[in-house]
Amino acid sequence: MITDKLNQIIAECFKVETGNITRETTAEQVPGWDSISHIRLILQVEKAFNVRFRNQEIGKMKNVGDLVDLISEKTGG
Amino acid sequence: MPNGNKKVTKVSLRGIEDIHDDVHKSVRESLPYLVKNLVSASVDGDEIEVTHQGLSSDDEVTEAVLNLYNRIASSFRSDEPNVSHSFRSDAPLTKSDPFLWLVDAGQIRPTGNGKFVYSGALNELFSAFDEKLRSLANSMGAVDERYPTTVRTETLIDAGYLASFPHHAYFSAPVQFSEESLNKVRERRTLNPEDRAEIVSDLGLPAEVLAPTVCYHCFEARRNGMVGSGLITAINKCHRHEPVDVNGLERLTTYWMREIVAFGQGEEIQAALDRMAQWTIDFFQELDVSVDLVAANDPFFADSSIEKRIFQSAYELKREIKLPVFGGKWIAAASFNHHQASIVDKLAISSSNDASLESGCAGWGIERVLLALVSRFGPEINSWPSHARTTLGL
Repeated sequence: MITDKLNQIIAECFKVETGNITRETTAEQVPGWDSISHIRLILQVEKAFNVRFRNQEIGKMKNVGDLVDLISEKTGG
Repeated sequence: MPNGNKKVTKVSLRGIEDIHDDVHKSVRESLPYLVKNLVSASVDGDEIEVTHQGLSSDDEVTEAVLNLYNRIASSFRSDEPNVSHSFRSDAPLTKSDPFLWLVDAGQIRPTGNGKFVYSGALNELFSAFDEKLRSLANSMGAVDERYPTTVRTETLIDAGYLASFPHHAYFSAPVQFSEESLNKVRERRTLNPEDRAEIVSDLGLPAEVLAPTVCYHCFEARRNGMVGSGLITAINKCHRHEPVDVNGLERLTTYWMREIVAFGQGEEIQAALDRMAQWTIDFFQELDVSVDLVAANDPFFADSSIEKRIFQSAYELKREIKLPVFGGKWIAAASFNHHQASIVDKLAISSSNDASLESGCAGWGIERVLLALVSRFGPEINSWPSHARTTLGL
C-alpha cells in the first residue's frame, strides 16, 4: 500500500514508470532526482502520508526502501 | 488599541506547532514587507505584539502574522540543535553591553543605521584577530586577494542570491542619463518623505549591489572560467539591509568579514572546512572563551527557499561557530558552508583538470568575534590578561 502510493508520487515527480522503481532505487539512478528535487519529493510525501520527517532522517535516506520504511514507521503501517 | 498615532495589534500564537527562536526571527524580518508601515514587532511568550501606523486593520495584521508563522514554521524542522562540538569556560561574561563603553571611549563612532568607525585598542584587536585568520589561510596555501565594493546584480540573480535573500540587498544605482534628473539631484536640499519617490525616479538601472558577502567577488571573478583545486582568502566589507534588529556590534548593515573560499572536489572542500572549523574551536578554547559548533541555516527570506533550508539542515551543509556575549546570549560568529556544485554550476565555473568541481567558504564576522571577546575579557582591551593578549598577538 505504502509502496504503491510512494511509487506513484515518485513516478509523477520524475516522469518515470512505476515499474522501474524498486526498494533499491537511488536518486543517482533517476534522471532529474537532484538535491532540491529530492526535498520537493520529501515535502510531497509528507503531505500525501500526513507525516513529518526530521532533518537527520532526511539526511540518512539512501534509497526508496529507506523512505518506505520511514513512512511505515511513522504511519504505523 | 491606539498608542499616539500608532496602533498595537496583539496576536496569539497558541496552536501553531514548532515555533522556536529561528521562526520568530524569520517572521520579524518578513513582517515589514507584509504589514504596512510596521513600527516594531516583539514576541512575549505565545503572543506577538505588532506596532504599526494603523494603515492595516487588526484583522488584516492578525491574518498576515498567523499566515506567516504557519508558512515559516513548516519550513523548519523541530530537530534538537545538532551540536558537534562544545566547550564551556567558567569565566563570567560582562553583564552590560561593552559596545556602550567602547562608544563612550571613542573607539567606536556610530555613523548611523548600523555602520561604525573603529579606532584605538579595538581597531588594534580587529587587525590582530584578522592577522590570525590570514595566517591560518596562508598556512593552508590560500592565495590573498583584494576585492571591490559592489557585485553585479546579474551575478547575484544568476547565483540565486536575490531569490533567497531579497530583503538583504542594497542596490546601487547612478543618476540616470538625463540633464533634468541630474539637475533635480543637484538642487535637492532635503530627504523629506515626499522627496523620496522623486529621487528614485531620477535614478538609473541598479546594475550593482553592495556586496553581501566576500565570496561573491571571488566567484564573479571566475565566472565562465576554469579553476583548479585551491583556496583563496580576502577580507572585505559586507553590506546587508536588516529589516529589524540593527543592534550594536551584533547586527550591522556594514560589517567586516574574512573569508576563505575553497574550490575542488567534494572531499577536498569538506576537509578544508573541517580544518578551519577545528582551528576556530581550538583558538577560542585556547583563549578560554566558550564555543559551540552547530548545524545551521542561512537566513532565507520567509519560506521562499523552503527546499534549500531543509536541504541545508538535512545534509549539514552549513555549520556555525557560536560564541556567548554579554548577558549570556549566544551569537553566530563564523560559518562553514559547503555549496556542493550549486554556485559553480550556476556561474559556469569549471574544473581545469577535468575533475568534478564544488565550492565552499568559511567566513568570520569580525565585529561579532570582537563583541564576544570584549564580553569575555571586558572592554578595556589594554588591560586584558597577558595570556589573552599573547594568544591574540596583541
